Amino acid sequence: MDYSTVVDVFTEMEATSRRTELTELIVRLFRSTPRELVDKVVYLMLGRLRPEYEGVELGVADKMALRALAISSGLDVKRVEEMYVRRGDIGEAAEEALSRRVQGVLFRDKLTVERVYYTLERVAALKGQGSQDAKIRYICNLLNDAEPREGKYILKMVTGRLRLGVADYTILDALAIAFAGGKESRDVLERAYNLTSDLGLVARSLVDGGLDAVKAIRMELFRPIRPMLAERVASAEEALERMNGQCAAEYKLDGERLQIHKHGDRVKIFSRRLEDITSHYPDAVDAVVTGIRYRDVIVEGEAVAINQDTQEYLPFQELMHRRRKYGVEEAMREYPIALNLFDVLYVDGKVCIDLPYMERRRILEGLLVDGSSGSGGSDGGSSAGGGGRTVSIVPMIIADDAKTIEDYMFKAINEGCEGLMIKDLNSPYRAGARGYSWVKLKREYRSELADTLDLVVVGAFHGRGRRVGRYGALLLASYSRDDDTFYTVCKVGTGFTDEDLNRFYTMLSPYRMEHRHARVNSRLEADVWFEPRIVVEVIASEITLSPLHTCALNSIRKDNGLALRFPKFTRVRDDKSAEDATTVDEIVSMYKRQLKVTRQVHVGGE
Amino acid sequence: MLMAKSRSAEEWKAVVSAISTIVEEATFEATSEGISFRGMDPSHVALIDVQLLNSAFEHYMCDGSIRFAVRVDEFLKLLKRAGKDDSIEISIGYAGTESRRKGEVGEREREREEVEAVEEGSMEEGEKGETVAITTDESMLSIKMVGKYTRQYKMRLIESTSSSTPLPKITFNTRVVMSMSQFVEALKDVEIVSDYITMRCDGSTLQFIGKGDSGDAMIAFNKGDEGVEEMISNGESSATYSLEYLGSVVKAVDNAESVVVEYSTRMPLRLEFKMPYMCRIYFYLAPRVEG
Repeated sequence: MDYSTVVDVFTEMEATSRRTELTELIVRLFRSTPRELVDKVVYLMLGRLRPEYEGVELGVADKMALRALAISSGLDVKRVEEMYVRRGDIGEAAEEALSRRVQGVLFRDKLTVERVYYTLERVAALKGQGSQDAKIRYICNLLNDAEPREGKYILKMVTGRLRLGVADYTILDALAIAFAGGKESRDVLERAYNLTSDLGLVARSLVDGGLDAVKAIRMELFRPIRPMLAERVASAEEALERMNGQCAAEYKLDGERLQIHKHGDRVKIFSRRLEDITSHYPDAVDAVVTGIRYRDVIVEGEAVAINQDTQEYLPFQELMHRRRKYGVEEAMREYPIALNLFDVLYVDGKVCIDLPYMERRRILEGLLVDGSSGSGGSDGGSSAGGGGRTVSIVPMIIADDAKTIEDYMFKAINEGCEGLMIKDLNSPYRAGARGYSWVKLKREYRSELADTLDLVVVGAFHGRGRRVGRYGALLLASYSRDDDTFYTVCKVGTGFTDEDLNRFYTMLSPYRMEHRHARVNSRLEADVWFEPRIVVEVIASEITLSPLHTCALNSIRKDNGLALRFPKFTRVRDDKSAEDATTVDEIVSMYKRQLKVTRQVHVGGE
Repeated sequence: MLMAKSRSAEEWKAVVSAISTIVEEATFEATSEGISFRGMDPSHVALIDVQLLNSAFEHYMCDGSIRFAVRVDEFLKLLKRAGKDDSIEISIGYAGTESRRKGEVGEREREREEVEAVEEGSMEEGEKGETVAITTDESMLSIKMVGKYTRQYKMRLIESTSSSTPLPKITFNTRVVMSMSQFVEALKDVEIVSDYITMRCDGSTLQFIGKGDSGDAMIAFNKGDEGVEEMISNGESSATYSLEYLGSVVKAVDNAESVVVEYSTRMPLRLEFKMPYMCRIYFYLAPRVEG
């Protein structure tokens, strides 16, 4: 098949923005494509060589592509670069340079789709030392025989810039029309696509074996399933309505969603966008190999960065340290994760996606070697971080009233979550679908807290890891003049240096008590209690409602107090006595001010 | 089975380093006539056509036709280990000879090979005891260099390509035979000012012209000048070629004695490097088509 045939259609596709026209163009292209090339044409149309999850990258930088263009055209690199700058598009630069080529060749062959595809496959396969030069040679090989407009698409392709604006579903439509008698067959193709994440495979099965072959496609280990997605709802009431009155509420962690495939000790991890990100999570790989009791599983979970010493969740940004080629090991040590599993799609030969949520949850809870699940209500703060293990099951409650859901959400948010995922108890796992079987419930506002707070140390928690033998986190309280009592407002475990940790230990020892001080009001059980004497300064991202802390309990919302989200220690306030600490009233007014500010911003922004 | 022994490794070094300027993997073909290579760089601008005739070797054996492929840089690295006066023996699947005492031989296979080897008359007599053939691996290229001492390398062969490169069908209007050293110098003269060389010849003068940002260069050879063995031109021929390709291949074979330069206006160039031994190296280069 001549490459120019494909290029002609690509050119027309780029010129249209109407989906129906786009579909017609693709149908036409498919009909003029030999059977054995249909899948290749699908991949080329997507600007790839293989399904995305295989991670086959052409890996050609602009600079290299321009060098190849200079060699093939015989023009000066500088001149080619200048064309690129002027046209602003590497494809157009290629078209211009090749129409002015000055280097002749000994032989010229027509470009075929086969040759373009297989040559690019070799480019992608080249790795390591000297591979850059070899890549350039292969690209030159194509450019030398390319017409200017063919060269345009070759360079767009190798630099990852081929954007024909064609959606996966448009391709499915076109396949259905071209090879399966019409759009009615699209659902069958879509199902296969959702289970395999591979349009090429669907296309190949369809042309080789018809719809029956497509129907026979099953999910497979190490081939990602397109994830089920959630709609957003505005309130707990709305969520409940969508779920017919009863639902599961899971912590929605602020991390990265992972789809994990395991066969014995072989593991692959895919991102939400189905890229292979196994190399970012060696610790998650170890955790599932040792932590899951079955040989073959496909599970989904959320990886969250945690503070090793306090087991508290950290914001999403901390995970980004892992998005790199080198130094993942260090990132892993410095920013460890907790992996919270929330769904199971496959276990030892049993496909689970068609089972209702509750049944999958039951299977999920039986997956772990030491069988701990995250189920349970407000059982203190112990659920965060899964109690120090790397892999655990995400905390979940079953709820049938809005109040329970809201309380659970405030608890989740205060522990560092984004909010809740509310799920229909009877819903199967709908691969690739966004719907109301799963909905996310987040807070409608969010703000930054500018002021620092001075809080009293009333308790502490034993350290782990590097902090063994010292305090890992401190329990802090605000002061209420009305009843001369200290009400807890947060646990702080970040912002300390090693020196600070040693200092705390000696500084706090004289005030250590066997039980909670009478003037301290706390719902949390600290490992160690102190007489309220030492004051520390903290900053935090915001003040949130929380069922765990007693500051302003019931004054804003029933059963909830106020708490600091992502608190961070800044310094010890030797100059302040416990009674000089930030008061409960001050925190309440900060909370109200914060609401007002965010609402204003919200209104102003619309 | 292939075995080719030469008195010196210089020929191999020149051939392989010339090939290394255009490809990374090279497929050679060996027949009873000799060993040949033909390949083009991936961008189809340059082509090398080499023949090492059986008479170029001190000792040559090849049964049937063998295609074998190597990674060019690896092969070159090994060849460069050979000293100037070392002899070199290149073989594949060749049961080389070594002397062994009787007691160490027992396997039927070895005996069978011994017989075959004897029949081919390739055996060298060991100093004492019986000469015994040792089996060698067909997937390895064996390179033995003998000088003051013996080096023996085995290099893994790679998958050979089955496609064969055709030769461009072209006629040449101009033919100049000149000494290699003068040709090399002339290219260097032009390289100082330009990345390209224009050749212009009317049958009595051959001009090498370079035009660059910093200035121009013009080098002229007249018919009958010292080092110019032959100059024929059917009308005037003028063509421009990239020095990047030309420079690197010429450097690789600078131990050639003379070079035959052939081309036509705006057509490919062919160089034939006359090596000291019985080896022919042709180099084809597509022209620049500027203007």
